[in-house]
Amino acid sequence: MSVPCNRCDRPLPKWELGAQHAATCPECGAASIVRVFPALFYAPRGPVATEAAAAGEAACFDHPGKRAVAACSRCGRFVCQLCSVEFKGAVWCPSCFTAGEYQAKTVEFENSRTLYDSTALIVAVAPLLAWPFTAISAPIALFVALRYWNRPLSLVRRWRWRSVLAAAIALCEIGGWIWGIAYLVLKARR
Amino acid sequence: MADTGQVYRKLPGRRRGVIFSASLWTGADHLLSVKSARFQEQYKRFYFRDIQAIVITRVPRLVVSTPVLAVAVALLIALSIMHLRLPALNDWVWLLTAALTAGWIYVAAAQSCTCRLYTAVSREDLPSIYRMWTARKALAELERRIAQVQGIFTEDWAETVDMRALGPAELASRHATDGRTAAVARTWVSDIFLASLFADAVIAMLPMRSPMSWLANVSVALTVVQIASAIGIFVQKYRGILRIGMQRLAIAALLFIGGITYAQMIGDAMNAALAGRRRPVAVPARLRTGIVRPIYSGGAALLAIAGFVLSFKPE
Repeated sequence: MSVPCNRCDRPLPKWELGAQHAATCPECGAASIVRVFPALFYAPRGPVATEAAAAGEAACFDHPGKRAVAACSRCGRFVCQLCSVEFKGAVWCPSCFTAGEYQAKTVEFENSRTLYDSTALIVAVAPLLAWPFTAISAPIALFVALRYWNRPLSLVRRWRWRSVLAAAIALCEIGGWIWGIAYLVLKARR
Repeated sequence: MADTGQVYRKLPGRRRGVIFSASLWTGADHLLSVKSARFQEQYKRFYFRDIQAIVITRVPRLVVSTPVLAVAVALLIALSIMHLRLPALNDWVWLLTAALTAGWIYVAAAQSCTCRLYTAVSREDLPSIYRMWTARKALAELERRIAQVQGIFTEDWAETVDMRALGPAELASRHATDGRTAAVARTWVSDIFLASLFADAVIAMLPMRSPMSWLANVSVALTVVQIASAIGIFVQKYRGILRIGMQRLAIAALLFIGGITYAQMIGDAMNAALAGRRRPVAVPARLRTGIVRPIYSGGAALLAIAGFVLSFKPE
């Protein structure tokens, strides 16, 4: 299969791929810049082969018929080729790798993060469109900003300005409510 | 990054939507694709050693980003102020609006692209790269990083590329069968949506002298039809019946209708305030009057035309 055109999904012909600047799709006429890298030509890896354990040889803890190739760096169990998990320069057995999430759960495996700073900011700002709701939203925004202050931010973002701004806006809204209620109470007493 | 130790450098290009945004970052040994939905970020890593190909195709794209929206709102406010306070400058602002609109249409039609990345197990669209100039910059940087890991070709790869499986296996089998996606460009729901949009554009240009004019009621009914059919378009896109272009157009149309409605309300309130009325102003039972009317009519007509183009665009 050749490289497909992004627009029509039809394969781009070889003579177009050989062009220096852009390949034109004969189906839809769209011009594509195509960059192919050597990884495309790597030999595909087949299924992991495990060898049967001979008599007297160390066998895998989970697969007693298979020869062990390493020992788990955490619990010491023998693991076969199939069971060995290489991670950060050490070999782990599947159970330790799964059970030790407190260690293994690192950024390498993280695929999403909740953005508490953005949440706090939106909760603080959005209700300003219908200001009476700020009586409820401002304490919530302040709580979210402070409660999750130490939680890690985005993988790629550095600053906590959203949390700071959310807390500042929430405090202003709370202050406004206190001032307004105090003003009305004092006015009523006079 | 203090918690990870991983240092990321941003690649050129960023998609800033009202709700969704996307960006690309390079780490020590991988490319990180970040898709954000305001409250949450989702990450995908593509290791440089695994990237098989990158394809950038020049296609027209109607992307309404937050900077474009901000400029549109600023122009709308400027037009309202000029219309009320400085009529002498009104023509200049219209000229600026026309020039910016023409520039945006040119960029959307001639300088936009889609970018797709292939590994042995995935085929990923990179939404942050949608303009040609950012695509070229990002590609140059990526090529450099990938070459450091994978090396470079010493012979012509184009001759043998069709003997290799690019991307995931199911993609190859799909290409072997028909090479087409199941989603279609138009359905009866999208036809209703476009027809109502076009009819609304025409009706907005007709004179509506009386607030109780039946044309105003028809316009309101058409707006309801537009909202209902837009929801239908979202459902059909979610079910894989309709292609994404029509969904984007529906989002753009809803934002436009909402923006115009608010602009009309704010304009009425400003008119009342400038006229010196201090009592609460009743929102009149009429739609799209004054300067908002030609803007609405032109915008709705443009959206309808874009929709017709999308409907009959080849798959």
